[in-house]
Order: sequence, then structure tokens, then C-alpha cells
Amino acid sequence: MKHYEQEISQFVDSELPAIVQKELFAHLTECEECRNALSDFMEMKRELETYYENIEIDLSGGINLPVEVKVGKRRNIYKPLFYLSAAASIILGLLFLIKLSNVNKLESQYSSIKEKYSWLAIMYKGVQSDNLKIQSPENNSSISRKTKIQNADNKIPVNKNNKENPSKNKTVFLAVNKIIKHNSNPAIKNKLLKSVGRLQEIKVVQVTKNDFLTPQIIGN
Amino acid sequence: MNKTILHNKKEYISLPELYEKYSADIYKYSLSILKNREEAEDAVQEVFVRYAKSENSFKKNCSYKTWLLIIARNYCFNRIGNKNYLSEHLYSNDFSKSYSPDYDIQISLKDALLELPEEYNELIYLKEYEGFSYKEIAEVTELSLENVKVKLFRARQQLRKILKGDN
Repeated sequence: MKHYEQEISQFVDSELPAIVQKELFAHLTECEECRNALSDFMEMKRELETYYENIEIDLSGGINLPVEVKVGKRRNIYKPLFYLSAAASIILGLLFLIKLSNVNKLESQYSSIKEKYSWLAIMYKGVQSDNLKIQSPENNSSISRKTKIQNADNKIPVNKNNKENPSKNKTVFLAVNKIIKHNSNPAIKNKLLKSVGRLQEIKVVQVTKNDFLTPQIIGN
Repeated sequence: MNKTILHNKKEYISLPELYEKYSADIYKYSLSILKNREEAEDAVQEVFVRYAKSENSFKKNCSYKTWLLIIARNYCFNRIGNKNYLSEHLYSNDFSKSYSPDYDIQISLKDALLELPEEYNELIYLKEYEGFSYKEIAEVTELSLENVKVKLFRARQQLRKILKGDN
């Protein structure tokens, strides 16, 4: 005959499924050995409960924690550090963007000054053109920077395109220098000076008699 | 039956509070395995120190009590595994049999428990005193559910035989 002692152990623990309980009860009616086992397991259960409850304990000394062990809630430092580093990254990013915008601002200032200077340079060229000698096919003399423009009648023509009087051109020229002098940004100043230097090297490529009044000057 | 009080897993409990609530249970559990009062007292000390050191790694996927019992179990079985343990406690009173050689005198429950292997003692304590379910016992002992059922039955069977003097 099969015995149900293991099932009895589970039954005592209230862990036996209901469907198996029916089988067990049916078996218990016929098996004295299993009935004795059930009785013994129930008795042991009661005695063990009492036994463990009555164990004398003396833990009045408490526990001695090592010095390096902190008692109480430990703070997780990693989370605040993460947020701190994230905030620092955002701030650095913003500072970088601000600096970038400042650089762009300086670039735009430089561009506007350069554009202004370009207009002044054109006027300056006009002043310089008064001092250039036009090489005609009959005249093979070399061109000098300060040669005067002469027409066939050896008269100095009036440059119709240059309606500004020389004194005003001189004023413009001085204004350019003033811009260069008073501009606080050394990078922009250097760029303007280089531009001025390049513009001073004006070379005449070819002119004809017809271009006399409006000399064609191709500058570098 | 002493029902296990499981704290809310998300609720934080400080170390002193844990000690106050569970030190007695940890002591009794350790005693069921180590079978020596002084060793059980040392075990309680060690369990809470280890808990304090590993508090941050406690992920709260089980109750505080279960976690403490697991720490206690690991400590106690390591302690028993120490080859010097038996020789240290060979002549201790806790290990001496308190019954006379006269087999007519019934053996006490305490002595019978001393006769049981530590693994069986542990299971009986967790079930009979702590009132853990099979699932909770499996969590603490890292045994399968089926294994818990079978071993608990065998522990009861052996205890019954010892108490009856049939061992």
C-alpha cells in the first residue's frame, strides 16, 4: 500500500493542494501508519514552536560596528555627482555658445568695416589715379607711381569720374587711417593694414588714348 | 506560530531598527545551524556588520528579514565548513548528549535537534518557528521548491525517529 507521509508533511504546512487533500483523507481512513504519522507531525509542530519561543537570548551587549561602517542611511553620492556633472556640462555648453556668438559678432563687425573700407579704398584709388602716367603707344616711358596723367596736349585732364576735389580725397584717405588707428581689435587692424598695403601696389596694365579721361587701372 | 513580519520592500529601515526587530530571530536561526550559543551570538554580530557594509548593494528585491537570514545562513555554513569548528566544539556542553544511556528515557526535543544535520535543522526552524512558506524558504536557502518539500519531509521523518528512539 502506498503511504502518504510526504503529503502529510505538506498538509501540516498548509501547502497541500486541495485535490490531493481529498486523496489523503480517503487514505487516512484506511491506513493507521499514516494516521500515526499525521498525529506525530502535528505534535512535533506544537513542541517546536514552544521550544523556539522559549530559547533564552542575551544580546544586551548589542553589536559593535567597525569604525569605518556608518550607521544609518547611507547617502548615494553618485546620483548628486551625476546631476552636478550634467549641470556643469550644460553651463560649459552655454558659455561656448556665447563665445561663439561673440566671435560671430566680431566677424560681422570686421565684415562691415571691411565693406566700408572697400568704398573708401575705391575713392583712394581715385586720388592715386591723378598721379599716374598713362603709357601711350608713342610713349614708352615707364610708369611711375607719381607720374601725372597727360593728354595729347600735355595737359593734365580732369578726371570726369572723380568729382571729388583732392582735398576731400585726402580727407577720405585720412579717415581710412583713422579707422585703422582707432580700431581696438588688433586682428581687424592687421587685416585692414594688409589690405591697404596691397592696394598701394597699383599696376597699370594697358591704357589707350580713349581711356585718357577715364584711365583703366587694374589694381592688385 | 510566529508569523514573519515582512516590511514594505520600499520602506527604508535603519540598522538599529533592524537589530531591534530581528536580532532574536537571527540568533535562533544561527543557533539551529551552529548548535552553540556563543557561536550564535557571534553570528548575530557578524550578520549585522556584514549587512551594514553591504547596505548599498541590498536591492530590496526581498524583505529585510530574508536578506538578513541569507547573510546568516552563508556565515553559519561557512563557519561549520571551517575544519577547526568541530574540534573547537567537540567537548562543549551544547554538543553533549543530555540523556542517559538508558533507552527507556525519552530524548528531549533539544537533544533531538542537535542530532539532526544542520540543513534539516535550518528548514525546521524556518518552517515551524518563522512560518515561512515553501517559496520563502526556497528564497533563503536557494533550494528549489520541490527540494524544500522533500527535505522538510525528510527532516520531520528523521526527527520523529530520533524522538521515538528509532535512530
